[in-house]
Amino acid sequence: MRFSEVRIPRWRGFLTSLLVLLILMLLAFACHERASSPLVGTLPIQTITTPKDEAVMVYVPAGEFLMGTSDADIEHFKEIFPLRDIARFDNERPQRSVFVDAFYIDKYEVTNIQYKRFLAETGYVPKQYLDYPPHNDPNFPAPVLEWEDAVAYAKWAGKRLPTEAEWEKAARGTDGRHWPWGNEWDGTKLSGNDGTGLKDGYKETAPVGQFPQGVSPYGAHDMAGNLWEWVSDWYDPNYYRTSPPNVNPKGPETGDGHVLKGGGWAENLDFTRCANRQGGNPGSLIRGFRCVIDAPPEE
Amino acid sequence: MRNIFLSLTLIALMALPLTSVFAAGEVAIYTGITQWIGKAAADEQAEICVGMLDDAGITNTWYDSDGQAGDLADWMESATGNGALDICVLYGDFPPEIYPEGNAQTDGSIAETFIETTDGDVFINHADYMFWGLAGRNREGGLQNMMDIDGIVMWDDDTPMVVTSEGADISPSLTDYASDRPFHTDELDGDWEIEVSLAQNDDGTRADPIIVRDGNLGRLIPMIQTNGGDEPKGAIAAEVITWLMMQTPVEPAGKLSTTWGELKAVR
Repeated sequence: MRFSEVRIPRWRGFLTSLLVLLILMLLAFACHERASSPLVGTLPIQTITTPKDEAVMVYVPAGEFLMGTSDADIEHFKEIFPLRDIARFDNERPQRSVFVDAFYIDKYEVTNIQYKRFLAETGYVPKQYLDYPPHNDPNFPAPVLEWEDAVAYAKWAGKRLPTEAEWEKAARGTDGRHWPWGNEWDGTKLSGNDGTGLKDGYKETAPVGQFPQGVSPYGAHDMAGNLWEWVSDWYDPNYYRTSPPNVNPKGPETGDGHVLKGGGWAENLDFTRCANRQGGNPGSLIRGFRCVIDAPPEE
Repeated sequence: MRNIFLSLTLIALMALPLTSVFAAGEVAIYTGITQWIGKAAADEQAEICVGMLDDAGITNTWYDSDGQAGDLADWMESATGNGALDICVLYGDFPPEIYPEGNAQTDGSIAETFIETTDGDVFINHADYMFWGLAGRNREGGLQNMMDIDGIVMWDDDTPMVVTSEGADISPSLTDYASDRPFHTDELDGDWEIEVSLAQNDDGTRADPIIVRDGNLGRLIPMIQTNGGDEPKGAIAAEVITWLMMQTPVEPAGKLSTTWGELKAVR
């Protein structure tokens, strides 16, 4: 039989090519999903390092996310917080879809080593910085109790504090989850309180980045627990009910102190939720911060 | 003669509880500066407490301005070691006028001296970590110095507090709730002991409210240490204070005046 006699019919060749093309497309689609999925924290995360404070920052793409607490969440909370007054969650309602532009946010809370470099370079005198044990080891988050002291650092670093919307999107992704890792409480995924005080191995705060299993969808660590975090917004418990802008909201013009997010090392289920917001007198909440910068439009 | 003896015995028995009433001292409530709870909310609860104490015939003074912390200090010094049970109610702050800020006077402050006599004097604290002070001027050291217990802390939140039978008897307004800064009973030391646990967690290692007493000396009562919420702090405080003054259970808040009316009729 001559070679010319065994040629594959033209229609079968076309089908084979189509099949190969389909497989290649599927592979490409799968890879694309893995690379760009905003909801899987273990996948490649886009990062940069800023020169002034040598901070690693993670990329949060532009887009919408669910901010606040929904009626369905409230029904869930009745089960997981049976002794809480439901009115406690009123300042998180209603939940709404909010768009924020792309930005980079510090992967970790600002540490003592970074904050002390700022103090040394500028001579700035903070109003309240807990520079004593057990909080002041170099890689522990800087306990900066006053909002103004956090803003001063951010300016020095060429950055700014996140808006509450930016912070919440960086913490919970787009799907309205309760905690950075999902909707089920897991006390092993944060520097938090298990009721005995030492389950995570640290008396109070922990060095940043010690709980990678609790990382946020965009790769930010310690968004639940460790230190409460300042954001730029003023606090108004009724702000969400005033139909605020749903594109890059920056909070009310003024308010009762500034918003704190994320809960701290002394806290448990409720305060560490991404949607939780505290304002007014922060009482015994020990707080720190992290910074953001705007991402270039083309990203 | 036998009838006279019986009558005298009966009169003596009736006089016993009244003796404790007459031995009761005064109550000072301070809301000049509050911590974690807003001042307006604290004033609202204080007003409820004052009203119930007035109805119960318990002498009280409400210092509602931050300029009155000095007056509170004067009151506290006059109430210390005066042979009567006196009670100071705070809403999270711990004024430097009675406890120098930053734990500058670890022993012998006006506040500590207040609870170190056999009067059994009392601090009640609402709404935050006891003796933390505004903006954390004392932090954990406030409680540790006041109790002379190194390492005792009040961390925790979302901690379920279930009302005990004693708590239900003493304070009918108290219901199950979640405390954000409960007292750690497993860290008590020295002569400090639990007098009454009014609400606590499953294993009793956390409690709020709770009355702890330093032997036969003074008492501390962490009471509803929550951030926010609608717990009736003022009513619970009034009911516990009334119980302490009377050493007898009281009726629910709405019936307090009736109970005291009956007592006054006996008197």
